[in-house]
Amino acid sequence: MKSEKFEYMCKCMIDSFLKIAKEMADLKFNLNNNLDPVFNIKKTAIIVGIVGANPGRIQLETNETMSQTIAEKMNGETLNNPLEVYFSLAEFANIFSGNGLTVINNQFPGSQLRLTPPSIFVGESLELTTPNIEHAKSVLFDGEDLLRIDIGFKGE
Amino acid sequence: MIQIVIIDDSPFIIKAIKKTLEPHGFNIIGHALNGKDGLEVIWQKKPDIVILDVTMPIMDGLETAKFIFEHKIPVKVIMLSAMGDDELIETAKNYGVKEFLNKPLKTDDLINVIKSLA
Ligand SMILES: [Mg+2]
Repeated sequence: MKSEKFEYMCKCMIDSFLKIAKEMADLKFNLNNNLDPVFNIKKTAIIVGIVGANPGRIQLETNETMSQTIAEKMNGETLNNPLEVYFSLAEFANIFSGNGLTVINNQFPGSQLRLTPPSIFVGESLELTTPNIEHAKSVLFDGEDLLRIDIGFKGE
Repeated sequence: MIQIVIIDDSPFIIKAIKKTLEPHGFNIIGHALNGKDGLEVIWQKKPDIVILDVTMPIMDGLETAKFIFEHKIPVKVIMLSAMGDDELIETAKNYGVKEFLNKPLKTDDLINVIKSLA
């Protein structure tokens, strides 16, 4: 895959994330890659797989405060059950990834990029690596709190 | 009263749809987290309308829609997906899906489509 195509795909994902965060949670984020990328704290990671011409995955990582904020704003109520927080974040990741892929698929007909259902990971000092990803980009955002999106695609 | 079943792997979406539709007098009579279980719920509850997600484990929404139309199961299908590219919509339409909505869920759109099918 040409690096311009990968950059375009990343841009679609980032734009979609910003749009969906505003639409679903009324949250505004700013790209800020000067932040410390290591979260040695309890965090939630949602991984959404991508299959099709350019397989890959989108990984959304948030610290505890951010997870709670996004989920509560999506639901419009206080959430006391952590499962509800994780399920909300999982769908948030599914929706912004899906909206991003829609733009990419329409731009590159025949790509047939499709999502796989989100996986949820929660823990402290969680380090997730995905093998066989040739193109990867990590983007940090600040706003209410800390959030990272890791975009990876493989193949031609 | 219109009877609706929701098939979506996201508990968040199931809750959001219930919260959206119930105050408008629609009756959510069942739900399932994948297409396979969803077909079972449709079989048992005989809803008027099914709101069907695309990305789901075990049996996705496209396979589920294909099964519903091939077997002429008497239920109206509204597909509701985070994805909505031309090729996906085309595939869904070829299977028989007439109504395709995108996530995030827009309350008015969903209610209008349900009313148009009723
Ligand atoms: Mg889904």
